[in-house]
Amino acid sequence: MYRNFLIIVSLILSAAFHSGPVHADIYVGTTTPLSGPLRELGKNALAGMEAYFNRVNSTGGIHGQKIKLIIKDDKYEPRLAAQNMRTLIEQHDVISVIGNVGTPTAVVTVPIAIENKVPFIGAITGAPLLRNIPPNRYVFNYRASYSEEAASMIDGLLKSGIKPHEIAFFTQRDSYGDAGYDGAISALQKHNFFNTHTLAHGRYTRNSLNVEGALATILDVQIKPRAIIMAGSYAPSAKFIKLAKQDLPDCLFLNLSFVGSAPLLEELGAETENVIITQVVPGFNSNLPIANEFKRDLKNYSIFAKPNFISFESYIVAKIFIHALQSVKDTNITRESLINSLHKLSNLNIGLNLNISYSKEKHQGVHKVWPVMIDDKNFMPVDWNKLRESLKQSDLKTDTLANAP
Amino acid sequence: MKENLLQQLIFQLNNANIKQLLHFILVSSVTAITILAVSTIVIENYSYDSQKILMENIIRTETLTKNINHTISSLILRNRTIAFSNNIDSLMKVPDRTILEKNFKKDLNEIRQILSSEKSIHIIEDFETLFKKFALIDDELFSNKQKLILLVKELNTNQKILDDIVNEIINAIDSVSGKIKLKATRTRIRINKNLAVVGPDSQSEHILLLDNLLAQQRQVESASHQVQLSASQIIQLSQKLTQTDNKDALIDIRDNEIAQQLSQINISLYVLSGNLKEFPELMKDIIRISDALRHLVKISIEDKRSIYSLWAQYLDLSLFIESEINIEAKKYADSMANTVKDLESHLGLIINKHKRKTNQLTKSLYIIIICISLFVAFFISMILHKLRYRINHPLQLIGDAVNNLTKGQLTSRLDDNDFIKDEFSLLAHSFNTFAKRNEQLINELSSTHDALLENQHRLNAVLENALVGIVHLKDRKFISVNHRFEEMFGYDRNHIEGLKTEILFFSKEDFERVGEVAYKKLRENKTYYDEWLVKHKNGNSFWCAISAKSIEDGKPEFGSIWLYEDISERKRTEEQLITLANYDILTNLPNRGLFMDRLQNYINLAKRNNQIISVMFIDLDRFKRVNDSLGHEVGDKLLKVVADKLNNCVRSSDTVARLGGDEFTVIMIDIKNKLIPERTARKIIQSLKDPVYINGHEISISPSIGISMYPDDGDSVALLLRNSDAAMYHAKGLGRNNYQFYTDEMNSESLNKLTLESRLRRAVDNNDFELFFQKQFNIVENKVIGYEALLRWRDESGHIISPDNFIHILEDTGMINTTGEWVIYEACRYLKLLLSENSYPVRMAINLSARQFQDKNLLKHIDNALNEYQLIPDNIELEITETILMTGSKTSQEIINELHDMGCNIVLDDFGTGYSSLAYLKQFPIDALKIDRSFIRDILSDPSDAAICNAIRAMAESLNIEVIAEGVETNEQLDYLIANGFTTVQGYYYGKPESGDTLVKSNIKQTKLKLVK
Repeated sequence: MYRNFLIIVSLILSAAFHSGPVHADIYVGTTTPLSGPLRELGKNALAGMEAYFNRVNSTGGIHGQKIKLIIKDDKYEPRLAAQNMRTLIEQHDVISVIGNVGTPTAVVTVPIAIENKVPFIGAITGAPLLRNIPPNRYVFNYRASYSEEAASMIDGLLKSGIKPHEIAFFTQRDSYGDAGYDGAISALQKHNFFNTHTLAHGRYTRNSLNVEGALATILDVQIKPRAIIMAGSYAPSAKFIKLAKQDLPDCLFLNLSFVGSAPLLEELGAETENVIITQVVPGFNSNLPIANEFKRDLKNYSIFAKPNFISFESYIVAKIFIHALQSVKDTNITRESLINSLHKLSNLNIGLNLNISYSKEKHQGVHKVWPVMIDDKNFMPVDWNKLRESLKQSDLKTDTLANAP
Repeated sequence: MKENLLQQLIFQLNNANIKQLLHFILVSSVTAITILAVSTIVIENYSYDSQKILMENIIRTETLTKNINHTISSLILRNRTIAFSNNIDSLMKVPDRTILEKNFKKDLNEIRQILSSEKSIHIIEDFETLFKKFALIDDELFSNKQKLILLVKELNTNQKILDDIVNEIINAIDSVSGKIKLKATRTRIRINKNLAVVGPDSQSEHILLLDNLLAQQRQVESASHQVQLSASQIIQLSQKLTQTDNKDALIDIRDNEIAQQLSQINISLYVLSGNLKEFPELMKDIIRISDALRHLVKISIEDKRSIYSLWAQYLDLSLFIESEINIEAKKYADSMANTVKDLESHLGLIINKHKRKTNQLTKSLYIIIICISLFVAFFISMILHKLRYRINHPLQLIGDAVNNLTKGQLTSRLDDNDFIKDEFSLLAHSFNTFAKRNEQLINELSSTHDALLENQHRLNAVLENALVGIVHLKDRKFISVNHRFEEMFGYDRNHIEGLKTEILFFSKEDFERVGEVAYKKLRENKTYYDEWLVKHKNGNSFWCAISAKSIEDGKPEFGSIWLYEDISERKRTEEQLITLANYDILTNLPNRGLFMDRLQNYINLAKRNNQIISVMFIDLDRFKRVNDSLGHEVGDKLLKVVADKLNNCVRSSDTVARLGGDEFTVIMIDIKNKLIPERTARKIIQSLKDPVYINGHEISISPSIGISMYPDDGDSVALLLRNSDAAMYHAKGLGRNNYQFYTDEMNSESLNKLTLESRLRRAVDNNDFELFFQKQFNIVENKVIGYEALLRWRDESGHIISPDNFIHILEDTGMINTTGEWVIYEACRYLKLLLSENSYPVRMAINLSARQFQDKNLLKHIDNALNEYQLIPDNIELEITETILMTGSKTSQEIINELHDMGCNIVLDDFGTGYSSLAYLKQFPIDALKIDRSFIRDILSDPSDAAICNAIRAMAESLNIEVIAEGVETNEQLDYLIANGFTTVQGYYYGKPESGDTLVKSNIKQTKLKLVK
């Protein structure tokens, strides 16, 4: 009798210990603006991740474990973002924080992640603070940095015949704006232009639409800018472009990817001409395998059915993340084993037609930037040389106008 | 009535007899004791009960008081916690009061039930009132504190709203200033453009317009700045509001500072709106700003829930709490604490009072007991006094009468009238009868007394002079003993009479055993006889033959006569006889008989218990040589030493026996396996290894050990012994000084030897020996110079057996002496025959064994033989071996010297094989030495043998010793020897040894031939 009891107890115990970790879920967290002026960005970022995670969960999960994404709204406010991070780590014990949106929030969230040794993966920001050299063990990026985006803008502009002193800046008065500005300035310096302080630089306050002062600052400068590099969010950027077009009808407006292409397009309404946006993902309408996969999954697994660059980016991030999780051998996945697995990802082809590799020394997924131009509500790849031709024509037009009596 | 009772009592006492008086005493003692016991129990019970009640109540009350104290402390602590809590969470965490309240009331009620004094009821009522008040105040404190905290929370919310409003204002102002700036810039650009196209008239107009615009922009900026500044000031002032601690300062801030800022904002706003009239799109922002400002004012001072009014309420409330509630609460808390103390001290008083009361009661009860005791004691002593008189007086009279009787006044009698009729009057009557009878008896006694005395004297003389101890016992106690007994046991009769006979025995068991057996016999009217080891007074033991007979037939309880005879001497003799029969006198070890007996017993035991026995047969190697060379005395001593050593090597349960000669056996019983005998055998070999010193001789001896095991190697004494013997022989065969376990193969070997020995013995008896002779040649002169006599044994079947096979048995068994003597005579006889036939003198070499040198008769034998055959000593050569010299025995050295002195030639045989010590050649009178045949055999093939031979020859020559080369077989050997200067040789080359008869015949032939020639 007693012996039977023992056997039963041991069976129950072994079953309990055996099945425990297998059916537990993998908790992943994200803090992102879901209300406030950047809510569109946050929602899109969520859509991409959710689409991929839902697909994974509906096809068996990771070693039988489901991915649970814990979502926290930070309204693009660093104070809230910090609170959210602590909640995710302390209450939900997330294995990783993934796809956070925003630079000012990253300023506070990254140290919290590092302090708690929580992997901080694929944040939707190109800020340099996530790109230390050598990289921090807990911070992994997918996208190219703002500096790289800005540098590609400078490269393109110079290629299309615009002179350095014809470039002006419109930036948000914070670390994001700084990152874009600094990236462009150092790119200019690489092209041996050092009088950067003479270039007009208008700034606006975060979470406000007070862009008039910035425009006045730019217009006050003697030389009329032919291109304005913009590091702002979509609402003020759109307002700025619309306002500026009244004074500078032929000027190019170059936006960093973070601006949020879809909402920008929406805000701009008809006035989409001469607006360029650098992207950190290829066009989702291209024929790349992942683009098709993304659109299909988004349709099947997300309520935000509209594909855009941000959801595409977060989809890619989610896919890289799942790859890393799947290559953890142990069923009991820990933060450290996840990082070790990420370090081992090498020449990963997820359908981007380029290989993604991480290692202890390299936490940056890609460096490539895809500039696009809005053409009839569509985003078309920019050909800088072609742009040069069209600019020449408009120059002529402008010159004739300017020289007219 | 009472008096009458007393008088009656006194009368009764006077007339009571002793028995009645004793009854009185008994009754009154019992009564007194009962009274005392009852009253003691009553007192004890009372004091115990009251003590118990007291203790229980005290303990309970103390516990309750402690509980109350604790509850009060908790309540006060709780109250303080409320007073000091500053957020709603900590306030809500304060524990509920109801439990504490319930405990308090319960404890207080219980105390009320236990303590019923007026004072305590008063205290308890006070306590309850106090507690009610405290509870009310406590509630008030709690609710007010809650309000206060809620106020603070609301304040904080308002502060946050303020922040938002300011942000809104700043945002709006930023928007306004941005817009006006853009307006200015655009206007400037437009004017600049227009300036280029329009004429100078409108130019100045344009410039004026631009200037106005710029001035307007500046004013807007400054006013915006002022609004922003004032708004920030208001926020700061709002914060300042919450830092004030009195209402006057609060009102001051509101009415002066904030109002000032508000008027400032209003002015700035007015300026702004004035300036922005032309820009209707900016008016929207201005309205936003003024709305925000209004909101700001409302939140900070105007609204009912504004920061100002909230803080004012806060101040009021906290002041109220501090000055009214808190003080009150503290007051009640202190009072309650004091009341608890009052309760405690009151409790102490009650306890003391109670204790005092109990003590008083107990004391008075004790006094009553003492009084009763005193009264009873007095009464009893009165009775005792009476009793003493009633006993003393008649005793005096009787005593006097008895005294008279003793003095011889046989006619003394008591007068009946002197006695009250009680126990003593009866006694007096009896005394008189006794005195009368006594008088008659004494007269009769004196006549018989003389006759009796005479008889006793005669009897005593017989008993006292008896040669055995005679004792009269009754109940196993000495009644009387005689002189012999005193002598035997050393006791004085005066001391012993009345003691138990146990003192004669060594143990109680012995004593009881004797009693049991003896008294059984005596009761059966038989004589008891036994022999016991008894104890002398000084503790010595001796054997005694004890016999007993009861005085009355079959009734020893009426006394018995015991005879003790010292039989120690007889016992000793008996024991010696036993020892002699079973033990070896020399070594004190069990002899063969006892060994066999014990072995048989052990086998029987082992059979029953399935045990293993091992029998070890130990023979000392070359012991005979010791005996021969050093004499029997030394040999015996050596045997004793060996016996001791053997005893040391075995366990106490093992038996070491000497079978005779140098043969020992060991029986080891109850062994598990062969390892134990094996270990013991090794131990024996090891212990015998060390040399022994006897009479100045260093003697080394070694054993050969054969071991047989029961039941594997035999199940009878004879088999085990035979097989261990066989194993021993095998051990000897394997080079001695070792041990062997018996195996079946050994038996035949041993048998052979045994049969050989017995056959040899028969041969000696029958003289089945012959002598053969081998020629000795002088190779230089090429002639026979002598013969060596060699012993041969012709056995029953006629086979000739060479001495190698039997000479050691002859030596070991000592038969060599007989045979040796025969050899000497026979050799001499043949020499005589040869000499009588031979033309020139030849000599006869006779071998002597070491054993023969033990015997001084050797000289006599040789001398006799020479005389008998009329030979001179020079005719014989006596061949001895190195071993004889090596023993270093004095006897053998003397014999050799004497033989040489006699004129015999001494030849050292087998030279080169032993120690070949040159010292011997010097030490002993050696005339010749024989190089051993083994050297000669290889003299041509082995250069070292040749070298040895030559060296010996050279050395011998220098010592003037003749050298004889033995074993020459080939012509080449002979040539070599001739070439190397050898003269005398011996060997098959010159023919095999011949029998005496053949030799004599051939000699005669030769002589005849010579004669014919």
